[in-house]
Amino acid sequence: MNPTETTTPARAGAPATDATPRLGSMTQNDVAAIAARGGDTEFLAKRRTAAWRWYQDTPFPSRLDELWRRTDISKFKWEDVIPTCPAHPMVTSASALPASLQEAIGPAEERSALLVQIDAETVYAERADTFAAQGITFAPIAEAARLQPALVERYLGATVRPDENRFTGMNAALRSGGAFLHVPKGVRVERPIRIVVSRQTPNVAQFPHIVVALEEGAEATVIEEYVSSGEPGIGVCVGVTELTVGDAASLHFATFQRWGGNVYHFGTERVRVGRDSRFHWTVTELGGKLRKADFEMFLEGEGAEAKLSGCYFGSETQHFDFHTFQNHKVGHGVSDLLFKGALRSRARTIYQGLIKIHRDAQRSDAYQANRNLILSNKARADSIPSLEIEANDVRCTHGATVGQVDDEQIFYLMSRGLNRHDAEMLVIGGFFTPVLDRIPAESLRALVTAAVERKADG
Amino acid sequence: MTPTLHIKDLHVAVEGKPILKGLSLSVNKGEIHAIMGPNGSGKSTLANALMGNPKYEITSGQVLFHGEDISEWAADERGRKGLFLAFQYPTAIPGVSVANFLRMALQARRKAAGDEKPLPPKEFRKLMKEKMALLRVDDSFAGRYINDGFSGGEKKRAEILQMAMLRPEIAVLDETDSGLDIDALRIVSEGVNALAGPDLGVLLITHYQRILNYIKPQFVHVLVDGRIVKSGGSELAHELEAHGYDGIREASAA
Repeated sequence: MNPTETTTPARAGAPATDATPRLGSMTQNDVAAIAARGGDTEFLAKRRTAAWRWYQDTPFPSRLDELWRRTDISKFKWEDVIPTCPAHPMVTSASALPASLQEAIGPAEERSALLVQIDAETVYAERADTFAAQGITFAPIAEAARLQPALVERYLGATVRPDENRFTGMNAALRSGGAFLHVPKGVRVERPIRIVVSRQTPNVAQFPHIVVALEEGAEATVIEEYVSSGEPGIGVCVGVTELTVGDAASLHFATFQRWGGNVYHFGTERVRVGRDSRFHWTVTELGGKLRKADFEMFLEGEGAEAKLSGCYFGSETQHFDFHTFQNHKVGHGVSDLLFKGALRSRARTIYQGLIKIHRDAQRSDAYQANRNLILSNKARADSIPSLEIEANDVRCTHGATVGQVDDEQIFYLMSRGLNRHDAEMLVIGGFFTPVLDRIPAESLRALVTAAVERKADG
Repeated sequence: MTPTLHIKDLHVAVEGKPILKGLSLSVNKGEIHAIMGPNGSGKSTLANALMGNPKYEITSGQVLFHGEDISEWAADERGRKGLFLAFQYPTAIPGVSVANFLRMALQARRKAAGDEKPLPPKEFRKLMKEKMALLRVDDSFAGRYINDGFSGGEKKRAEILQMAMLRPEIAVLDETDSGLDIDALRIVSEGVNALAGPDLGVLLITHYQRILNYIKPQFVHVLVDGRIVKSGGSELAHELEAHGYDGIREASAA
């Protein structure tokens, strides 16, 4: 393990005072200042400028858009959002990271690399000594663009384009921190690579962009984690994650979101899965005030297998709006999605899942299930699965349920001597077990399981 | 002497409809009682009401356990005190392993008995292994989710396995024989017989006489329309076999 010096130039350090530009008053010069401060290459700086123009010309989605019908952001004060933050000095060892993040990064022996972003800055990077010999690139995006310009130009924006909507444009224009991982052909990364995005400054917005590309036959496990403890003010995160799984490659990607209760997080996450490749996505969504996320799997090579195992737990007045997309573009692909959620108090969740089978995607096999467990009569879950099938020789199954804890199960457990609370905890835990069991890295699995248990405990 | 379980003039309604209409019965440790009755006579209602299923409302009468009225107690208090119900239709609890659940249940039962210390994991595993061997279930059983994907025979064996682990004072077996083939019935019955003894009272509720070839009750009661219409020794079961419930009904009405 080797904490590396990054080549990021010294930062000017702009404190988040009234002088700091807010999104409402930002100009192209402010965007150029972010580019300079982040150490953008010319390619990256140009990309920012183009994205900024697109962003300015594109309205926010409204409730007339199908995917935004149940999430109203019209009253959100975007103009007050602060896209930069005070400079955080780089730390030189993982043990120097804030105590609150020690749990998130897990034991050193369970990772091969780690990038930590706080607010809008990367503060720590480490890679296994073997990375250089294996030809693996893993760095904040600006650094990666200096080290491997051709790779960054090839993969950045190749899966999620900046001009898809106002959020993708905003992310590309205001990008901060983020990570770029490239695993060359046939290379296997033994232990998980972890990317931690955290925050500590009130009202600061983050625009992390995570890019993962596995070449043919490569194998890796990557964990992205969004974590904070609920600093004063509000927090905003507009993220983009784009993943490419090359032919016959295998990627296990874990998304773990446990923001404090003050964070608004909008994310577009998409994977392109190549021929005969394997992709498994484990998603855990627990925190934040409002979370809107797209999880999209594009099957682009024959024989691709994509699987998503997700869980969410809403409580208080949390609002979660998830959209999943299983996009079978070619034949002989298998997609398998299980998204399970529990809701407490006044939580509100929306799940919209689409399976699309293109005309030539014969012999596709797609499965989608969304299961909701309602633990309070004030909570509400909407589940909207849908299919769009243009091919005629396919197998597609989908299902959605919204239910409560079964009285018979509780009676059964209580009859054996467990009190009601323990019985309910067991049933809720059991509901999530099939999903939690699939989470990679023992320390992460334990962390997620404990976090779910804390939420279940109310 | 105070009976271990004393049911006094019990009336129970389900969704407002009276099912049990004055049932009285005493079961002591060391005794095996069989309650036989036709469909709709109130057998499962008795089992559920004894265990405290909230859907079954005791409208009058009492259930006394060691002389204490437990009719208002929640199911978990009854379970911890040593009452056990082997369910007719055990419910599946996906994601919760048999071993994990039993560890918690056993701990709750031991705590109620004044033993705060959990059984050390090694001893717990040893106990599980021993009881699983008794019920002739595979070791993998411990890691499986409770009743999830179990065959009918596995479910009934799992019920008796739980009984063996929790060692109740009174066990109510609600149609534990139904749906079992002869081999499974023999295994389950042998399990019950191995547990029976001076520390356990059994209330065996059944529709069929068949199980009584394997488990020998000292007392047989006939339940018709929410009341016990006849009680006797094991010979009563044979009488039922010969004349059917109608014969008993007529005789008791006369």
